[in-house]
Amino acid sequence: MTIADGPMDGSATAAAGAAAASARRARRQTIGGLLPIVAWQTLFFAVPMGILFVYSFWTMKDYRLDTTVTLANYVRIFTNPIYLKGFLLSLQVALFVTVVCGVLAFPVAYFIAKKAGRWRVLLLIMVILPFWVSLIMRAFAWRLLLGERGVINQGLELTGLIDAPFSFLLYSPTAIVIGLIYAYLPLYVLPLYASIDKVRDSWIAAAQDLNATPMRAFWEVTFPLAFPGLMVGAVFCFIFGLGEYVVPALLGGGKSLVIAQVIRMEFELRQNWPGGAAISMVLMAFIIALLALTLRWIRPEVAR
Amino acid sequence: MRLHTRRDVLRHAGSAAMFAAIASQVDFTRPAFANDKKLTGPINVLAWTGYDDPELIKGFKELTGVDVNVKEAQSNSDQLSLIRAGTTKFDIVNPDAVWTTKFAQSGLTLPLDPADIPSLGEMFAPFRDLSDIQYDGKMYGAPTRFGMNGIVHDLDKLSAADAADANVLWDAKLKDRISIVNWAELYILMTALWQGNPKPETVVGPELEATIARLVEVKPNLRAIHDDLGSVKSDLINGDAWVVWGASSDNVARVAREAGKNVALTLPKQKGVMWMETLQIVHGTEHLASAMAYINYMTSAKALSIMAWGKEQFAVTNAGVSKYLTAEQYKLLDLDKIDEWFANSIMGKAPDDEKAWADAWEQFKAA
Repeated sequence: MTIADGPMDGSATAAAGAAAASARRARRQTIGGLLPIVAWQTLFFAVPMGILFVYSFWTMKDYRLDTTVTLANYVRIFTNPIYLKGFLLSLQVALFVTVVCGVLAFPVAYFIAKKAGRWRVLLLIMVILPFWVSLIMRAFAWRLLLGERGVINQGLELTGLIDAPFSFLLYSPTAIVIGLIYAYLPLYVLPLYASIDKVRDSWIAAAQDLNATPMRAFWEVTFPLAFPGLMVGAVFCFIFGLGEYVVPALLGGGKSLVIAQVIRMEFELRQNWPGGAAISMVLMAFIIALLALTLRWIRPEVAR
Repeated sequence: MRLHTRRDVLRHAGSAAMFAAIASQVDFTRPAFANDKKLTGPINVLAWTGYDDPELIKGFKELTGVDVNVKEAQSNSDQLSLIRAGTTKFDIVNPDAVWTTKFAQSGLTLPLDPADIPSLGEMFAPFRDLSDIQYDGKMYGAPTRFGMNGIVHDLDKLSAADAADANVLWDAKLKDRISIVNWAELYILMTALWQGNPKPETVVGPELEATIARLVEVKPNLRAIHDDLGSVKSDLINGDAWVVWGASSDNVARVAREAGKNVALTLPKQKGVMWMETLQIVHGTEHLASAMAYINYMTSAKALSIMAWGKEQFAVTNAGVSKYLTAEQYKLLDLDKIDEWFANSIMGKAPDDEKAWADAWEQFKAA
C-alpha cells in the first residue's frame, strides 16, 4: 500500500460503509414493506391451512376428534368414486367457464383498451361494478330474472315469442353457466385490459406498414403481447370455478354434486371435519401445482 | 379446642351482612324460576330463527331480570359446530330432537330433570314421550316447536286426491316440478317409510340400497334441492315448483297461502313424518339457573303462543297456547289438525347408522 493510497482507501471505506448502510436501509424497508402482507398471509392463510392440514390426519369418533394420526381420510378420497365424480364435474365446469370467459373477455378488454377513448374509465368501472355486491345477492337476483315468472320469461311471453315459459333457464346447467360467466368475466377482463393497454398502437401500425393484414397484426403482435393477461385471467377463472359453491347451489338447484358441495357435506352432514379438511388439502394441492405449472409457463412468455 | 377466634366471628358477620344486602335485592314475589338459585346473566342462546322476537326477550327480562342474547343458527350442524368451537359461551342451544344424541354424546349438553320443567305436562300428547329427547336414559331437551312433513301442492296443478298417494311424486307429470331441501335424514326416512318399513330409522344394507335406488328415481322430477327453506317457499309461490316435498311442509303451506297461493298440505296414506325442536342447556354454562329459567319460560304456553304467532309461524308443542291465541290464529297455525296429523304420521328419529345414511345421501346427490 502507498501513502497516496491512504486517503483513497479512506474514501473507499466510507463509500463502502455508506453503500452497506444504504443496503441495510433498503433491506429494512423491504422487510418493513413486506411485513403487513406476510403477517396477513400467515394469520389468515398459513395458520388456518396449517390447522386444516393437521386436522386432515385425524378422525372423528362419536362426534369427537380422535387425534390418532392416520392416512384414512386421504385413502378414502382416492378410493371413493363419488369424490372423483364431484372433482371431475368441478373441473369440467371450471374449464368450460374459463374458455367461454376468455372468448368473451378478449373483445371487451380490447374495446376498452383500444377503442373506448374517453369512456375507458367509465367502462372499467362498469366492469368492476358487480363486485360491489355480494355474489350471493347477485345469484338471487339472477333467480328473479331466470325464473318461470322471471323478467326474461315474462318479457318473451309478453312479446309473443313464446307461449309457455322456459323452465330450463333456472335450476339447470344453463343457469350455472350464465351465473358463472357473469361472476367471473370481470376477473378475466381486468388483467386482459392491462396487457392489451400496454401494446403500443405504433407496434401494430409498424406491422401493418410491413404489409401485415389487420388479422395478421393481431395474431402476431397484439395477441402474443396480451397472452400473459389472458393466462392470468384464465388462472383466476379456473381456480374460482373449481371451488365454486354458490352458483351451482343457488342457480343450478343443488342437483349436481360439485367438489365444494362434497366438502360441505363432510363438514355439515357427516360432521367429519378431518374428512372435509383432507379433501380441501387435496384440492388446494391440485390448485397450487396447477398454478406453479402455469407460472413456469407464463414467466418465459412475459420475458419474451 | 378453640372454636372461633374474634377474627372468624367478624368474618362471618361480614359475610352475613353481604348476604343480607344481596338478598334484599332479590324480588321473592317473582315466580318459581328463581327458586333458591340466583339468576345471573346475560344468557347467550343459539337458536333457529324466531327466538329473537323482541316480545319474547322482553317477557323473560321482565320475569327474571336477566337479559337474553340470541344468535340465529342456520342449521343443526351449525349449532353443533359453534358450540364445539366454543368461541362464544352459549348457555342454551336449540337443536332438533333427532340431534339430541349427537350433542349429548359429544358432551356438549347437560341432562335435565323432567320434574324441573312443569310445562312438560301441558304438551300435546306425542311430545310427552321423552324417548325422542333422551340419551343414555336421561332427558336432554325440552320440546318447543314442531312441524309436519308431507306433500304441499299447488291445487291448480295437483289435486288432494292425487297427493294422497305418495307415489305421485314419482309420476312423470311432475317432471322438474318438485322442490325439496337438503335434509338427508328426512328424505331417506320418508322413502323408507313409504317402502313399507315401519321403523324406517333402522334401515341399513340392502333395504337402504333399495331406498336410495327409489330416491334416485325421483330425481328427474326434482326442480331443486335447496339449502334453505326460503328458496323452497319462493319456488312454490313463484310457480317454479308445483310441489314441495317435506321441508317442514305445514310452514311452507302456511307461508304460500299467505302469499295468495292456492295450496294444500296433504299427508299421503303412506304417512307423514314430524320433526320437533328442543331447547337444551350447554355443558359448562355459568348461568345454569337462568338457563333453566329460560327453558321454563320458553316452554310455557304464553311464550310459545307469542312464538307461534311471531314472524316464522311454526306450530308449537304446548297445548295450552289455545288460551292465548284466537280461534282463527289457532286454525291458521293448523293446531286444530293436530289429532289428524298425529294419527297419520310418525315422529322422525335419528338413523341407527348415520354414516351409512350420509353415504347413501351422497350417492343420491351424485347420481
